[in-house]
Amino acid sequence: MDQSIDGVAVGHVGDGDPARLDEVVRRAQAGDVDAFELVYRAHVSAIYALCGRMCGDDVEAKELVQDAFVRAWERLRSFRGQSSLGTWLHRLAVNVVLEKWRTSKREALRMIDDPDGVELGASATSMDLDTAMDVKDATARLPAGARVVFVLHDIEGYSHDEIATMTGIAAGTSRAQLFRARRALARMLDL
Amino acid sequence: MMHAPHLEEDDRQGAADGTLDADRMREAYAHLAVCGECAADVQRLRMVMMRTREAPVAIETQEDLWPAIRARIDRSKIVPLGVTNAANARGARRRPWLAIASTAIAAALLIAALMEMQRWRPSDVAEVPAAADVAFASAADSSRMYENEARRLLNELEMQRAMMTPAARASLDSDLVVIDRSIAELKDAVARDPRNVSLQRLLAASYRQKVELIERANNAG
Repeated sequence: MDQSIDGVAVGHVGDGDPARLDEVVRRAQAGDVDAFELVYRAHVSAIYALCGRMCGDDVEAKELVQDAFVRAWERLRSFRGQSSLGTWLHRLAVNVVLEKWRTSKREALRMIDDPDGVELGASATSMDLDTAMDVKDATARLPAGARVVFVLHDIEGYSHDEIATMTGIAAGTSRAQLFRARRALARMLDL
Repeated sequence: MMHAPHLEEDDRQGAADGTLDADRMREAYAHLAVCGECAADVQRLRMVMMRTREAPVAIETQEDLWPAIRARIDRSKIVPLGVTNAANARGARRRPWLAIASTAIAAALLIAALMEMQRWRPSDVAEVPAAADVAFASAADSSRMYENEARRLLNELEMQRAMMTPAARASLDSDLVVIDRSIAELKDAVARDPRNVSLQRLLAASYRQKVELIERANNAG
């Protein structure tokens, strides 16, 4: 999506000219909300996909996307370019999701911490299991704790140690959740 | 032909995602070469990972979320200092002691500022230009160093925020706001009087306080 700031075309911010991208980010850091909109437009699809995978609910995912970008606006000055903006936004969005759960979903956190306390795939009904689901639906049907660990490890590429740091669970618990999630997915995907 | 016992779950999963160490991987592959059941199971796990990685990394939202985000930014007039004004207001309402602590920090900064002014004003005037330049450059370097360090630590802290209790997070954010406000005021003062060594030193001291606060939060996390 080509857009402009003060009449100067900046092109697609996500994969455009790095110098132009730096300029857009710099202006957003200086408080230019219009420049920040370009950042939003460039990254919203990836952040929406991430939030959707982590929470498994479209309505909640949209709320989390909003929270993540408002947080990004608040923290944009701390972005110094050591990582790509996309990576920085990803990590920030992951934290927003985990924080939200920490404050509002004790049950989800219990499941993260207690892999034996849930039967993975239990939310998938027998009717669902008659036909293979697509990956998105199957992931959404994982219990919250297993889904979070699976998304962070197998999709986002975090290590078990990093997941342990972010969520407060033990690395071994993270590993157990991941294994169970993969097993449940194999069953739901009819593999 | 006798087979070794089937692979344990850890080894099957590790063989599928390649996270076993070299020795265990060699043993696992030796077993998989002769055990069709384990080989099929490991292949099934690999298929799960492959199918997952084929899923789109970006999904277009059907609805434009920007107007709502823009409205929230405009409504709260968020100052990009690392916390929301709303969060501060909530924190202050819930914890009067925190407001007192924050005020104490601000008062300490102010007292420190006055003492520094008293302490340095005569020597600032008396310093020969070369010495003043060195002092100014040193203080400015300290400010920059602490500012950079504070930014680095804030990035680290971002990772740990999810683990903090809401109360601890709000408390930290509130204290950061107080210090950031002092820093902002000192930066304004430095901008108006850029050659004032005392102000530069105060700015450096404020950044140092911020660094120490974040370090304490990081260590506590």
